[in-house]
Amino acid sequence: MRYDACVIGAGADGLTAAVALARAGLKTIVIERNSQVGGRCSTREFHPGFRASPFCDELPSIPPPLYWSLGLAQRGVLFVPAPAMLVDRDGIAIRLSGDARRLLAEAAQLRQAALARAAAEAAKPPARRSFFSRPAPARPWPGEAWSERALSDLLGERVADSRAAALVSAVALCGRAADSSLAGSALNLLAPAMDGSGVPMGGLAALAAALEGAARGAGAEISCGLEVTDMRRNGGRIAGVGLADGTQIEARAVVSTLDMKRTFLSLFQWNELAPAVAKQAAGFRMGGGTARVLIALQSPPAQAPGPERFVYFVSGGQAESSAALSACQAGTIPEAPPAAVRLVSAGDPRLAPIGAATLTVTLGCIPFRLFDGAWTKEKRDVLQARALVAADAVMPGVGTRVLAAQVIAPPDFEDALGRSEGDLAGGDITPDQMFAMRPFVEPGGPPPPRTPVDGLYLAGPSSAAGPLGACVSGAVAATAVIADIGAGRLK
Amino acid sequence: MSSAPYDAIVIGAGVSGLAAAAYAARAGKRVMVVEARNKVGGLCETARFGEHFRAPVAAHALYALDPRVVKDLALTRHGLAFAVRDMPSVGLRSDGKHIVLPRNLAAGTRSISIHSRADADAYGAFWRDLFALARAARTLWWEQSAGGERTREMLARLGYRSASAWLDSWFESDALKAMLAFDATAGGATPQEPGSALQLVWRAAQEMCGLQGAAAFPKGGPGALAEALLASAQAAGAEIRTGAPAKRIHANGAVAAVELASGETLACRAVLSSLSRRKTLLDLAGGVSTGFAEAAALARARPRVGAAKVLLALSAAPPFAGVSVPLAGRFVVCDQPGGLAAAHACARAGELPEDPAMEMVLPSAADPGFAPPGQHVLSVLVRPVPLVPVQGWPALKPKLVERVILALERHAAGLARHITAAEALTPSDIEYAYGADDELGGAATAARMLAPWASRVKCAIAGLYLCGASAEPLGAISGRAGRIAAVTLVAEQER
Amino acid sequence: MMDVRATPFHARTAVLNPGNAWTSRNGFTLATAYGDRDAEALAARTTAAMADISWRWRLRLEGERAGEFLSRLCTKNVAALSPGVALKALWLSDGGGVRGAGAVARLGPAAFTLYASAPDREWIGSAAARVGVAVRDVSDEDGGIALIGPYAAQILKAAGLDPALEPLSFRRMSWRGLDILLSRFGEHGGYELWCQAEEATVVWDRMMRAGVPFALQPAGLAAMDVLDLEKGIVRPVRDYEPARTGFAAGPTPASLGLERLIDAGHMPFNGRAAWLAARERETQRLIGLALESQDDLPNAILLAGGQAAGHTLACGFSPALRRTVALAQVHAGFAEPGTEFTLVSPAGPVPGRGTELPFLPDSGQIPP
Repeated sequence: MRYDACVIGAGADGLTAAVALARAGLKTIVIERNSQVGGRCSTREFHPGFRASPFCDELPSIPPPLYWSLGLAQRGVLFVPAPAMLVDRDGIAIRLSGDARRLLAEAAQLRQAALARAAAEAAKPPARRSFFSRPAPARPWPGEAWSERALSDLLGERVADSRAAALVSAVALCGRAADSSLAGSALNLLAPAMDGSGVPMGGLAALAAALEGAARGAGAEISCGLEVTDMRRNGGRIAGVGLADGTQIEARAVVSTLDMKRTFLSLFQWNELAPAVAKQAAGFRMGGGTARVLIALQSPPAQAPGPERFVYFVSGGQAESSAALSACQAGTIPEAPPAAVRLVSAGDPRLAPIGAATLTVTLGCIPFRLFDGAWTKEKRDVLQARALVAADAVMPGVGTRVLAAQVIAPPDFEDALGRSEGDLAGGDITPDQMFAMRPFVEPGGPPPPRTPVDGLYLAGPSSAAGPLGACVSGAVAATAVIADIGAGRLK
Repeated sequence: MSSAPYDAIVIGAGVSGLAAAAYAARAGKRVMVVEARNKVGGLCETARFGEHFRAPVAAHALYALDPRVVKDLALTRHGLAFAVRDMPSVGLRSDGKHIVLPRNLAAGTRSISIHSRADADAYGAFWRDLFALARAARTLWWEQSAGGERTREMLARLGYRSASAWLDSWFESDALKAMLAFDATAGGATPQEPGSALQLVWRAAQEMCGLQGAAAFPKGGPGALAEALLASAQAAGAEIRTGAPAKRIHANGAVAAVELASGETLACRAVLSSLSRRKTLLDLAGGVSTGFAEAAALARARPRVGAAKVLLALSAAPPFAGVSVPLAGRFVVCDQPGGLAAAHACARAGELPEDPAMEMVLPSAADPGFAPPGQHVLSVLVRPVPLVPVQGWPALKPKLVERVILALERHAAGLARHITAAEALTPSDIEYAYGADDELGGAATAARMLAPWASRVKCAIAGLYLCGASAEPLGAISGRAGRIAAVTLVAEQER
Repeated sequence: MMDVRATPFHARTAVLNPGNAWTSRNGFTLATAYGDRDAEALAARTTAAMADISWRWRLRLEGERAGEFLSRLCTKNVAALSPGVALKALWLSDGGGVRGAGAVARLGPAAFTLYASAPDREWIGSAAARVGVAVRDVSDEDGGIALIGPYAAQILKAAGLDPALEPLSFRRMSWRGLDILLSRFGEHGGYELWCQAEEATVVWDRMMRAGVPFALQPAGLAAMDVLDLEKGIVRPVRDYEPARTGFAAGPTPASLGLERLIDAGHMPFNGRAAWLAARERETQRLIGLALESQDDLPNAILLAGGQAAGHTLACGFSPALRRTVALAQVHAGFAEPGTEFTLVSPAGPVPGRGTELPFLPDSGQIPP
């Protein structure tokens, strides 16, 4: 079968890319390994009657123009913002202060500007490089000034109340294992784990369904249950993909929503890539550190410190965060990992039977590889215990109402979603892996989402636009494909 | 009150202050240097240690001395000579497989190949690339110029990388990476931090005795450098006053006078301060003429970790087992690259790392005047250590010496038996003695290292210049900031 | 749950506000208008109007170096003030951007009060702490009312207070058993009366009784805002976004028409160097705009000759002038009085003409 574009992965980014490509009139196919679309955006029944999104409750926000152009509102995807609150070990609840809000608003503006820049760069087909041409000096990206700042320094300067600053830090670093005192950690504010965009009514699965509807409606084909195992090349250029069952799919362009390492190291043979590209792919550092625990409660817990649809961050202060980080770096499970607790059934009653409740806990600073071996049942039980301690700190008495729990440890993110090292962010958020250098550092190289391999485009979390918003990296990659096909660069 | 105002008053008679004074005096300015201590030299001090020994108290090797300062101020004529011009770097390892990296690439490659063949092959290319980039960067770091566009771009890109990521892209063996990463920890940085890769480039850009990236040991220790600078400054006509700590800089938009602790006020047109930016603007200038936001930023930028010194008198040469190492080298004890990050986190939390990373020099191997024949002095720089430990330095000082000795025992079994005297200088001792607080006013960020000289040397107060470690891209005994500050001052006064 | 932050006069103002028109400023709950906003604004020009100004931010600064500190903070020399006198000044960020504006009154050798319409606690507090000056927010300790209008002095006399007071000065006095402070810091030529919070209602009643023969009217916040508009005064937060970060360069004083609050000869104020440098490059001006409309128009973009010329900061119907006026920030090229503009409003384009400020002098006459 001959297609114009093949998209690997039917997550939010892949489906968005498919919508854009199909609307531009290209014959598009989306290949998904799992039997259902959605990737991160799924809602599963983990215990009879109790449902929750296993991987994350909330995505970073979809930029408003993209939201409208995808027609998501018409498809019933309405986002309900979930404000955040910090609960410290004494049970005192802290909300965002005025200057914290201003800082977050500024970060949001920088994010939008950076996304606009990514889209603009994608729309320009790369100029033919002659031997004599010198690469034009790069303009700095919006938000690049924060590459030198440490998150704790930036917060200390901009947010007067230290506890409001701790809340901002907890929100940005939710589920990550990042040191907020290192220079460059301020970029986590620009590419946060959560930015308060909210949960779609009906859960993330509703978003996946809406995107699938939009993709099919535009004319794209979606095939589930098929795995892409290698890339077909013709000369130096991509000619298609090969599937696990031996089928070949010809395509002029391939958009991969897998992360950088998986795209380059598992889809190509070792001798197919230029040594520099292979070395960069191998040297790309993954972050990670997330684990999730889904808890089924037989009855809703006692009074929470605020309205129940809030996200509660549990923090024990600076010393505890440093200890958690050191434990993670040493390959052990921290005593008190940073945790985000959310009573998901309070916002969406369909997630639990009447009279019961579903709780999710997102833990950060959980190492992907444990120093003493694999993730056994005991280790998962330890995670569950940590999660219950955190939930108890926010809503006392949770521990006594637990009916069942499911632990999603870092390797499960890799197995289920194909995210290398369980990193939902697709790569460490550090200055040498952001903006123009995400994911390729070579000066004068193709600006993202294009890759050094002609015909291959990187969408997904490892691309420049990836950590800055949901769905948008797919749209940016589609823009690049359409521009390149229009310029006649792809046969 | 003196009759006519001085053209410049230099605060601090360390290497930077003396260099600045000498340059200003040579340009015909009437210069007075005020030094709080009773002797000049600042961190370049060679002092008596124990009964028969001498030791470099703070700085123990020079690697960043500005060649122009040496030439313009005729320091060789004033008595500066070097006992060792090119100290090889030696990475000591507890398993005896020490990595010796002299200037001779072949010898270095041999010693790396014991750890990894691939690394040995890559080392030559790494060295050449690093030194080429470093040479290109000299336009930015040695003179007040902006540097070439391509160089700036490459430096900016490298500014985003951490030393450990950069070394990871070249080498695979932990041994070599850890040893090289130690040099990226100056100024309280960790090798994991963006900007630390630039520290390696900066070190490679320096030149001692005509050799790029070399470390040298002066005859008579770093104190001899101070003496030579003093002689040069005095020959040029600068007045030096010791035992005269400066208390306040009187300025009202522009510098007017310097008030000493004794109450005496010296009128002047300009001040060159070798103290840190924070001390100069907030303590000496009283926060006047410094914007509120800048003052808040300076007050907030507290360094996180510091360095300590341990001096040991040995009755015999250290018994280094394993591969033979040249005694007149610069030893780095740092076994694990990950260990530096852990040690840094430990120090930030106020605890002394279990396994301290150290740089050591045996001055007695280079210059016989430091110890009686057959005996040695070992000067150890321990970095990182907490600046304000939880237990307090008085309680932690003996532990520091103990841990250093234990670490040394692992690399030279039997060394403890030879120790006849031991002394330690904690960060608080160093600050108390030399007034050298956070040399850098914060960590060595890429922005600071790549900024133009004027932004580090000048202040919002007209006539006030910084010439010390705060004005350098990376705090080190250099004299370059002194030269550039003095040259800037002279140019502005002529206008 | 957050309690409603009521001013000390709330008991009286609530009774007078049966239409339940409340607004919040600086966290306080204030009446928008007691009846007709236009009538209240006119009263301030024809007879007398009394407004609750307890929402204004007051900061007490005490310490040996308070005067020196305030001189560094503010764009005029505070240290040279004598007790009982005040001055009006701005304070700027390090980059020369306006952070706030207010009046500084000297209470004694080492005590000052700063009056401003928007708080800036962190900036002033942390800078003051560095030099050992104690700052204390005293906005909740007392209540204040403003008395504006041609008959203000006569009303005070009738109430038993001596109205002889120079502008920008104040006097503490005892008024039939109450401790009050009478001042003239306002921009509209009137008086302010500051009293203890517990005694506020007594003060209100006394003033209302004294004002009966002079047609004294209570005025809500909206009327006071109209007076500001007519005088050409912009206030932080309400009309423009002040500089929030330490090194922000905008908004500049010239672009807000606030340069008169800066004493260029005063040396050490924060941000002076940046302000001087920015003056050369300044391209924005504050002008007045008289529009062909009788409606209250929202803030909008201005066009002149088809190009974007600027935008309005405050816009509203002035009952005294019987037309809608606006304060606008425009490019220097359009700042000549008489320039024709078009205001882009939801109802359609509205023509207007640039004028000089202020639109009306104090206690002016109503044009025929």
